[in-house]
Amino acid sequence: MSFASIFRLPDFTRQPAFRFISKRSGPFDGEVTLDKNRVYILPTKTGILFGVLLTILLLGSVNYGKSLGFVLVFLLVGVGNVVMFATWRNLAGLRLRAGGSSPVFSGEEATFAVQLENNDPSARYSIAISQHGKEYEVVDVPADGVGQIHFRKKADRRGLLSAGRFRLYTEFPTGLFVAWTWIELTMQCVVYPKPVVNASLPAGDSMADGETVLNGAGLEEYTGLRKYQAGDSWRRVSWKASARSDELYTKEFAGGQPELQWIEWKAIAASDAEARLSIITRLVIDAEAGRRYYGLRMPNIELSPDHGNRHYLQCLKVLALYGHE
Amino acid sequence: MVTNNHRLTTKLTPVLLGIHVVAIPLYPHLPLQVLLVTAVLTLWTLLIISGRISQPGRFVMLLLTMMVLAVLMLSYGTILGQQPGSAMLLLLSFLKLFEMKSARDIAIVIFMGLFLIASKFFYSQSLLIAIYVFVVVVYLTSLLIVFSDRLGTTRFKARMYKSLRMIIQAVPLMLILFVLFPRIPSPLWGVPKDAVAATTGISDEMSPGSINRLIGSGEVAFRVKFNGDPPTRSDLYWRGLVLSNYDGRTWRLENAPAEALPLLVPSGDEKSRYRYIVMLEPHNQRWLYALETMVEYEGQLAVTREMQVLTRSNVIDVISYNMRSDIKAENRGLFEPERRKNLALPAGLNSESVSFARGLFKNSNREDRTYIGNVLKHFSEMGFKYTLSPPLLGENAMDEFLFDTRRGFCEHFASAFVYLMRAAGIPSRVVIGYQGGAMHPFDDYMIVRQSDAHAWAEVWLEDEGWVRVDPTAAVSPTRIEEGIEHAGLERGLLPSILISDNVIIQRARFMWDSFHNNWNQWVVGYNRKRQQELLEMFGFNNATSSDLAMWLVVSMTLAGSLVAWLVIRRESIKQVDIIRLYYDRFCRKLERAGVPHRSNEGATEFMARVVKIFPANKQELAMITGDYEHLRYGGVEDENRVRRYMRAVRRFKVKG
Repeated sequence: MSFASIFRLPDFTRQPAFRFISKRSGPFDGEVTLDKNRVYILPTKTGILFGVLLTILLLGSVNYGKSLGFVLVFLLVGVGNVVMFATWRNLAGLRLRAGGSSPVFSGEEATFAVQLENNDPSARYSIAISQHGKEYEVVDVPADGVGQIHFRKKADRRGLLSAGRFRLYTEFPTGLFVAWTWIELTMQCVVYPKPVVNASLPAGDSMADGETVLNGAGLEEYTGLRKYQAGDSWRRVSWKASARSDELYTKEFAGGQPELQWIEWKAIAASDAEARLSIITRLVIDAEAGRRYYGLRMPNIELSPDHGNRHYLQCLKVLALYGHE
Repeated sequence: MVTNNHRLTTKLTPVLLGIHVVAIPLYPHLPLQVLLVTAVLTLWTLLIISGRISQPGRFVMLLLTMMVLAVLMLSYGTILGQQPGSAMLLLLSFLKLFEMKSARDIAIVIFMGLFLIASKFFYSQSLLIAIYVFVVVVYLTSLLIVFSDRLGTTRFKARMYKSLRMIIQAVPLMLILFVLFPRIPSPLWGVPKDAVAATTGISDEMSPGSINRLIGSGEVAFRVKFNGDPPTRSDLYWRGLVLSNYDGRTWRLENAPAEALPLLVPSGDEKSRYRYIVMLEPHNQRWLYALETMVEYEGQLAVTREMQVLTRSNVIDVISYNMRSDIKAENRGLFEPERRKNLALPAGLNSESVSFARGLFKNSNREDRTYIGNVLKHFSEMGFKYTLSPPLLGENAMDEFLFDTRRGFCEHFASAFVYLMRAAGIPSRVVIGYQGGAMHPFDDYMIVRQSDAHAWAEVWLEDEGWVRVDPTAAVSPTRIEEGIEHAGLERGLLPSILISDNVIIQRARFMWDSFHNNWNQWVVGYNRKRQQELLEMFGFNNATSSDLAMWLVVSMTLAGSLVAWLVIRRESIKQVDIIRLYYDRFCRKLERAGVPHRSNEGATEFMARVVKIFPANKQELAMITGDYEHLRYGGVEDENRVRRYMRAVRRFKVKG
């Protein structure tokens, strides 16, 4: 629309318009309260239209000498004023806390959570979050309560991904004004290397060297159930048994010799370190999927063969942070 | 911002309702075709909301817009002007609903509603309208809340409450702006011709029945505040306009009133002088009413040679004006063209009356004063009757009235009297206005109603100038001395406010009138002059516009800070959390039963532990815990649930 293009506002939604705003936006360690000098407010396009309407009504009232016209215009001016503070108030005073983020593979989108803590006896409505001009979520925060809001960021590289500065804003209660803040909280997401599509282990490296102790746990023969412990493979959870009670149960097996596998940095042939990490990542994924016992031997660290979710994540984390420590 | 179109249409119901709320006072004025289109568009919108049909495409919209314009053209003949403009705004609001794409479109509809509301002030600025507008503004603001609440979690009641609160918070700033905003004389440009409500009141001509028809109306014509005691009732002649042209049936105003000062001779008697302010209800005419004989006025008015007071433009709002009258002053102005005009009679009519007049004049020794006395005597002694339901008159109206029917209202008597004067060669004319007025029983102003409308005569006597003669007084002296309600007229034809015996209702009516009067003076009639007066009351004399602007800025800053404080302030004492208090009570009950709540334990965990110990209470435990979590952390605002929760905690008792 040509109308819109003539009256386009400077786009404050992509990045802070002034240096002093960026300076105040953080990064903050863990948490920050949105106090008065961090919340900004401007009329929206609707708000500007409202201003035009009031001007026309005022001119009409002056021209026709209609006192009630003045009353209406001035009441609406008053409402505009109240609304400005109310909109500002809907955001100011909120306490932000860095929430967690689950690790992702490079190339995927990382999701960052921000906790919104409302210490007021009234709820706050329609608070939205955006980064680089893109809106991700709208939430309400109950009175004296806590809410969570998320935004996503593309993970381009393995390692640690910083959440970066985001914009928190609201137009509630009328849409005539928008109040916003720019905040950066120290939040990082672990990004695993992007796995190659498929890879196989170089022959001869996969057998255990006999020294590894395997907690006496085998894979062949079912011996019974025990309570689930963190690190147990999800594949061995007995869903049938777990469904009958509140707890999770893991199936135990005895006897047989599990397949052991060492995944070694040295043994992988690749052009550079990143390519090598991608191959290793694929191997770790496959090994876990294949319920094998696998160990990881990196130039700087060695993880002895094991399996289960905890081991799996530990391996991936080592790969993600390789060279970053 | 992503707005789901489907969700938007489901939010349209309150907007549709809003359009109708805004349009209610418009409906009685709308032509049938426009009402029909309104109904059709409403149905259409409802179908869109229910999802039965989708929003119309661009082509259909174009067609609809053209259809709407065509209907308006057919109904009004134009789309310009106040009434077709309002109707167009109404119909276009519906079309805007059809093509709703974002919350901003809704805002436009809401703004159109505000315009529509403002256009009502052309018709009325009464207190009732003000209250209605206030309600509408609260509702429209709550609509803005609907569309800024993007998750749709707020409840109707909560929105109305929030909106009401914001608007009440807006009142201080509104008052400051209203009082201090500089007022300039209006209009800056033209006023639409149709921008006036239908009014009752005296028109600029008089024929049999034209004053008569006003008598049934208890409406207030104007209110008067005297500086001191008012004159006696029989001196309360409120002069409006002078009718000199007679065509045998109708008395008309002289076409071009000469704006020249009449030759007034004040009486010099202080006791016959009165100062007063008239607060005139809008009558959509140019003339004002003044106590006879007005000698001084304030403001931009014009006085004609016939002693008519005129404003620059038609009175379409309540206005007030200061005047000074001398009830004994003489008006000595009569110029030759005027003399001719005030002797003219339509040729070939009422020959009987003319010969009667000549005969009577001869019998009165051609003495003007004696002749006038004889004519009045004729009215009072020859069986003339003052009545609200006179018989209809034919072509020779004067002959029929004087010698046949002999029953008439003030216009008949004034008309016949002037006719007989002119027939005898005495210049005379009809004056119409109001006679009488009643003091408000417990306020200090006088109310003059439409039922006080009256017509009388003026004759020219060479040594005295224009002299008022009221022939009605000869027929019904009580009409002049005590008022129309005591004149022995048909009671059923008089307004109920004059004849009601119900003291409480009468009192309520006068209280309302008093209130209305203040409203008129301080709100509707608030202008530059009133502003100055008000500021003088606070000790600010001769405030200029720039003074006003400065005070405006200062007080707005103060008011702004007040609002900021009201809206932003933190609650110093936290609202007592009833949910939490009841949960503590619940925990104490369990503690007494031997199961204390551990500080690190969540409500659900606690419940799981308690259920194992008191399985018989499982149901209540689950309900209380569930309600507690929902009400306290789930952001649920459900009064029924709160009540259920509190009842459950109160009744909770450990079993086994």
